[in-house]
Amino acid sequence: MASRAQVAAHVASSLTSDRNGAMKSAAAWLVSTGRQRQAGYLARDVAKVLASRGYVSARVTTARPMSDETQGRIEKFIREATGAKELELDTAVDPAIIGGAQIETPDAHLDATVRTKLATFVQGVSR
Amino acid sequence: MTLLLAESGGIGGLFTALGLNLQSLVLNTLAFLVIVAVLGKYVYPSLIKALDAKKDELEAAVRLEREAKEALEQAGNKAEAVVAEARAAAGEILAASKEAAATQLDEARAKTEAQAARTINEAREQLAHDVSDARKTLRVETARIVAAAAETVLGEKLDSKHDAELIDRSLEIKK
Repeated sequence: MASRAQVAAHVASSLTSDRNGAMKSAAAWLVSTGRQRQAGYLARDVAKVLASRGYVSARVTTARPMSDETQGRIEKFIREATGAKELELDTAVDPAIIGGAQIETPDAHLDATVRTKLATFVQGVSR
Repeated sequence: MTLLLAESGGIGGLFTALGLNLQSLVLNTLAFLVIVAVLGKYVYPSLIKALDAKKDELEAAVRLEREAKEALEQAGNKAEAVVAEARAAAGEILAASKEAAATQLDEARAKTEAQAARTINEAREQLAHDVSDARKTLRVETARIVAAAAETVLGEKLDSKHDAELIDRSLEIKK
């Protein structure tokens, strides 16, 4: 029986050529092995494999909509940090983070939000 | 007597001179002797026997009284000895009790003092701990209030331009 890493590698390989087939293969493996609850982990593993091959998907959360200039700087930052040949950026707005940005890639997580900085400040005082 | 016999002319004359009837005297004497003999044979023995019995009873009563007196005296002596012994024992018990009470009092006092000292130390430690906790809580609450205030102020004052600058600075730091 194939391991999750092997399935992820297979799905990542066939994703560009046969997207539907790759998705079906992944779903079949999850159902046949009774690991439906690991769908999220499998998706993350696939993203990691893709990232290692230069196809990076990232999610950026800001408190207010970004300007094109800011988004460009963030994309540049992610490309330099991950060595991505292709970057798929998913943006989201969450006023609760107050300010700054939160960047998530398959391999890394950067939290530069004002909310987290304030929480870190409170934690530091609590110690 | 001789003179009286001589003067009265013999025994008969003497009785006559004395105004006595010899015959009557003899009869009375015989009657007296008979009475004495009867009394000596039938009355005196029972009388003497009764007196002896009475005497024995009296002697027995005296003896019993003496024995009772002796027994009473012995009992008194014994009671005095018992009382003296009891007094001595009571004295010893009292002394031992006093000593034990004093010892227990000393022990209780020492134990109480130790307990009091321990309680005071615990109270001091607890107080120090509470003060420390209160200070920490105050510090944390202050930080939370400051953070909340900062959130509010920044949420209102942070515009897109400053936010972009903030993001740029964060990216520069992480490079």
